[in-house]
Amino acid sequence: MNVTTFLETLHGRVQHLHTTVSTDFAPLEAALLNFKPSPESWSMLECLEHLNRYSRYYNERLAQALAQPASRPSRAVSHSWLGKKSIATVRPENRKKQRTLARMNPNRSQLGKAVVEEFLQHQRQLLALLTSAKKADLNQKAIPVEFFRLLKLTIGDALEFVVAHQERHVQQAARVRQQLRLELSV
Amino acid sequence: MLAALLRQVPFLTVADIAAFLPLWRKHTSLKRGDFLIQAGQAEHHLYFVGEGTLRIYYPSRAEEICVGFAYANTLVCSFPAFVAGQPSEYCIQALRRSELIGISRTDFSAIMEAYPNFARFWRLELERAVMGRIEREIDLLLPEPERRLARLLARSPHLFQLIPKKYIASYLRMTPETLSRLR
Repeated sequence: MNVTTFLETLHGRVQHLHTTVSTDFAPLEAALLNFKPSPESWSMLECLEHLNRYSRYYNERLAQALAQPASRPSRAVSHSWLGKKSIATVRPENRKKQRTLARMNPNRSQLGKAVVEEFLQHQRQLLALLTSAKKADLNQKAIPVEFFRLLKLTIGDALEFVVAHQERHVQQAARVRQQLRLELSV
Repeated sequence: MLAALLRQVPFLTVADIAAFLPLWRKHTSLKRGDFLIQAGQAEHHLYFVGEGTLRIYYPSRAEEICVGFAYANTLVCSFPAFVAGQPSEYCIQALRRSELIGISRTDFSAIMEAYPNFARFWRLELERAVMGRIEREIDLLLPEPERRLARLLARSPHLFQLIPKKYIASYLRMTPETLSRLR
């Protein structure tokens, strides 16, 4: 795929995530954001905290990789096998439940509204990273996978992985939000 | 949680909610399998589910037929018992550990009289509940199990995360085997 189209699409998707979270989630009070439909399922804040834990890692790695402009920026993005596999696992259309690593599972942690602010902060950072990515070689294998650092994703794959993963859990949080109303059962 | 949800209702004022909350005097904890209401019981409370899952079922001689569910953020009662004071024909049973708070019929009627905003709130809840009942009635008229399932999936996808399959199958009037074949 053409690099400009690729980056512009991701940019739009991240902007959409930022809008959804700031308009639909941010105004809710903490009690609602902490609501868990069942003890095992995540609250809206837990969904966002899970994503924050990933962003803390990947945004930093991406920033490092994008710090220096490439001598020859790529014109087309190609996906590696690992990249395709990773993205397919986390994209929201894949409704299969995936196991979460214990350190990435925020279930039953005490969370406050700061989690939402941090999430929005990460999105603004990601938008800036997508802008600097225009000058990078997106096909360079530069981003170690979080849970197995010997494996590396290309910059392009890592960017798309982060966005797709975020969409997955923001949609999950949106489903929890739909249960934030009284329902009479007679 | 009830307070937070009521604050989301645009026309309820702080004063309305402050008057309403202290009336939820009854606190009930149920273990899995415990009954909130048994058939034949006249139960004059409306309950709010803070956490947990419950099923509403009609105990026929041959089987227990699920007619509805309650889970976190649900207001639940045996309607004939709460509204008309009749003995309940069906049972409400906890499917997992559940925490509920209850308001008595007397307190509830009094606040409906004194606070018109609550009368409006209750009317909207009742309208939605009747709509839900009509949807369910249409479900039951459909002979094809896959159409009954598709309608429920469209209407209440969250049920499939919260309720064990065998009760959903009973609610859809199909065997658990049919449900797992269709899903």
